Amino acid sequence: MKYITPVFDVHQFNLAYQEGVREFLIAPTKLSRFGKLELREASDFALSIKEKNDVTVVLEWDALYCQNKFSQLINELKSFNFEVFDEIRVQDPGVFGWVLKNLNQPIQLNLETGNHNLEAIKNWASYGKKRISRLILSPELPGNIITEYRKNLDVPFELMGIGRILLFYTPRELLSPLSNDKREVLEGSASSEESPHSGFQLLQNEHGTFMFNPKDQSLLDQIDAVEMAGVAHLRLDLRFHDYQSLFPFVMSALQSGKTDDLKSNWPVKFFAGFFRVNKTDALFKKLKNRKIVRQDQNYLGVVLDVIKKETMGIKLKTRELGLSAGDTIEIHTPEGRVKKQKIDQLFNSKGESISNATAGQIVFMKHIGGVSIRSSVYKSQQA
Amino acid sequence: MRTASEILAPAGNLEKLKVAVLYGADAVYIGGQKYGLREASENFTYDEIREGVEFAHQHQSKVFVVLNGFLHDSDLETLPEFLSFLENVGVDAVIVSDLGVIATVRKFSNLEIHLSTQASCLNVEAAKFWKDQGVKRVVLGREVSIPEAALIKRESGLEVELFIHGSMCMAYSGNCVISNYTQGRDSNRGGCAHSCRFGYEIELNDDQKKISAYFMSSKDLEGIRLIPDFVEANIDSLKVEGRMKSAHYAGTVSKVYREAMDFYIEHGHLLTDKIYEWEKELRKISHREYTQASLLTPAGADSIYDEREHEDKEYQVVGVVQETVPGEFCLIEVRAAFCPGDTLELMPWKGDCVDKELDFVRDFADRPVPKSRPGTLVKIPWMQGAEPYNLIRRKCP
Ligand code: SF4
Repeated sequence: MKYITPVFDVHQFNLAYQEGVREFLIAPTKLSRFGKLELREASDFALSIKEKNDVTVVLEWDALYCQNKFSQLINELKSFNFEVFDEIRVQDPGVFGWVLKNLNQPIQLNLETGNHNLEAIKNWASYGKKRISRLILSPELPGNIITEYRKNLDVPFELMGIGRILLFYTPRELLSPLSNDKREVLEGSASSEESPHSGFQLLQNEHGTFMFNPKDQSLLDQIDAVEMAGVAHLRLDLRFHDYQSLFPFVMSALQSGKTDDLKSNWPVKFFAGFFRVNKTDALFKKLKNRKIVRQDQNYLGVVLDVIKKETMGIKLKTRELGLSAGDTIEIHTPEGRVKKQKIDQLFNSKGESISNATAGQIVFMKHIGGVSIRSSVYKSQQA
Repeated sequence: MRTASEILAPAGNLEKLKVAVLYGADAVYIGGQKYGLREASENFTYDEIREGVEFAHQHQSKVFVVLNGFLHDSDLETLPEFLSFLENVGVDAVIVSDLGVIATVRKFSNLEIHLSTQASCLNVEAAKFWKDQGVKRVVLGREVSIPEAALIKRESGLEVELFIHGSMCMAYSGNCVISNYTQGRDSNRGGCAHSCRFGYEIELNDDQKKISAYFMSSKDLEGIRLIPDFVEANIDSLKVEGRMKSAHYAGTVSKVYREAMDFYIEHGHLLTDKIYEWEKELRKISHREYTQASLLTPAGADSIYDEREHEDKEYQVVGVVQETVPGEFCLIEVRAAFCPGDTLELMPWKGDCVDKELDFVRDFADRPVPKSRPGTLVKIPWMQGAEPYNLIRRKCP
């Protein structure tokens, strides 16, 4: 397993280098969501790192831009020294397209937002042709799926091994209206009684406002499984924490396989991520009453009203199926009961007896015991 | 000569589709039982999609089907069958946000592809990328202004669609996974729990004090006064958010934006008192405070909705016309209680609403009803011009 880590100064770089890391992310403020370096500083820093000739320096360019900002930025970048970077990491398809056309470096493509199927990932990769040197996969992908992807793609994969989990990104400034502080970067935390979690970290900078999960992601307990799944690169993202004091714990956990010290020193709790399992669609079933979801076959319509023990009105909805006196219908109630009944007589809204009715009409008939409003009506195949 | 932009309305079920079309929407967007972003809404079965498409086409409207979840591999397995069904019934386009879904649509059908706003397409280069993927239209991110959208259209050669009305996701669409981590529900597959609407207690690092605020909720978008800007910028389609919203909402937004668009195309301006009427109408449906958000300049602090979530609506729909027997009665499905003697308002397809005091309210067995109950059928006096799917409403008490 190879490691990559964002660094912002030479001390962080020296520490990580001594610990054996050879790949570094450089994040300029203008280009990276969480960048802290001016463009000039970033390229100078990259140049200084490259004095060690066994390192790879990667430019992080993952902010999102609307057209006006993007064209301004491209103008500013005319004087930026891209050459000092070995690879460019991009996320927005606009930036991806621009880098493909205007630069020559290999591209690390960040697919952390969505991209939960092989077809998507394959198509992103093939658009970059031979330029794609790495795919950064979504932290929501479970290990067994990544294993499958590995068999189908020959581009190396990266996952975030440890770091803050980004939950929300808006270009709007949400913190400055709450404060008199006029600084460009504001930080804080938020909790809500309406949420089962508390202590969401907040950050506002020139790209907008970000909210993070209260717990950080750590795959360090599952590192063997991560490697087995075919992940070649692990991102050790300590940019929001005290790098100097915590990085040694991270490396020692990776070397020893023991994470106790790391956990007790890390400022927040860890979340093991979705690597073992992702069940974020399991609750969908509960979001609607499946009993009243219309099944198409033989569907006639819906019970609009009921006068118990007397009459009920049905709106016929299916064009192909009419209803005639003598037909047998099956009614599925919202509570899940099924009632079957032969219809002797049908009436229209004026109370006149009719022999049949078609889609769009409302027909009335004798109430069938137990049938309530919103029940679905089907034509029965056998009497 | 000016060309009207398409008015694209939301339709959460078949009734809303018909209501939106009859009140003037040029196109509606709907969801099937899977693959979209509104798992909690009713959505359409196969037969309902077929019926909806036939109905819309009979009325010269189009139907777009949303497949805009960030789908997982297992979701894609069943997608080809659904696509061939959509193609067979003549759906006009599918709205997609995931590259894997786009590739699947292209592989298994000739359906026209619109890129969902969920993909947050924000600039010319991004639009070109999606064009290369076979997309015909991009629904741009809500952060994109009208002039930027015009430029994206010119430079990319794609059709562009912008939101003109409705609730807004505060995040760059597709860039919020709060529900995934806090509620175990994938917000990019329809599980959003609207955590941005919650009240929070916020501590800013350098401030020492705690602030209680609704700080990450957005006001609703209202772009009616910008119709001239949209049209002059050649924006192809103007989308209204709200598949989960009521038939009243679908009908009102379709009617109001249709009338305003037609007025502008005919007169070349919106300098008319009608603008106040239209705005009044848009206040009658459920809404938060309105903002133009980023349609002209990037949304500022005044676009934040800093109140607890509550329904703001001046009018409520009390019934939907089901049948009429001219000169005798209208049979309506009751949505909110009313009594004989109440004055109700019929919302015709076009033009001003018609008031009617109710001489009688009877059940369908013709017995007097002292107070109607929601979910039942009643007969009320016939109103001139009433037709099935017309909405009947009254001022909220
Ligand atoms: S919680 Fe709010 S910002 Fe997040 S996806 Fe839902 S509506 Fe959008």
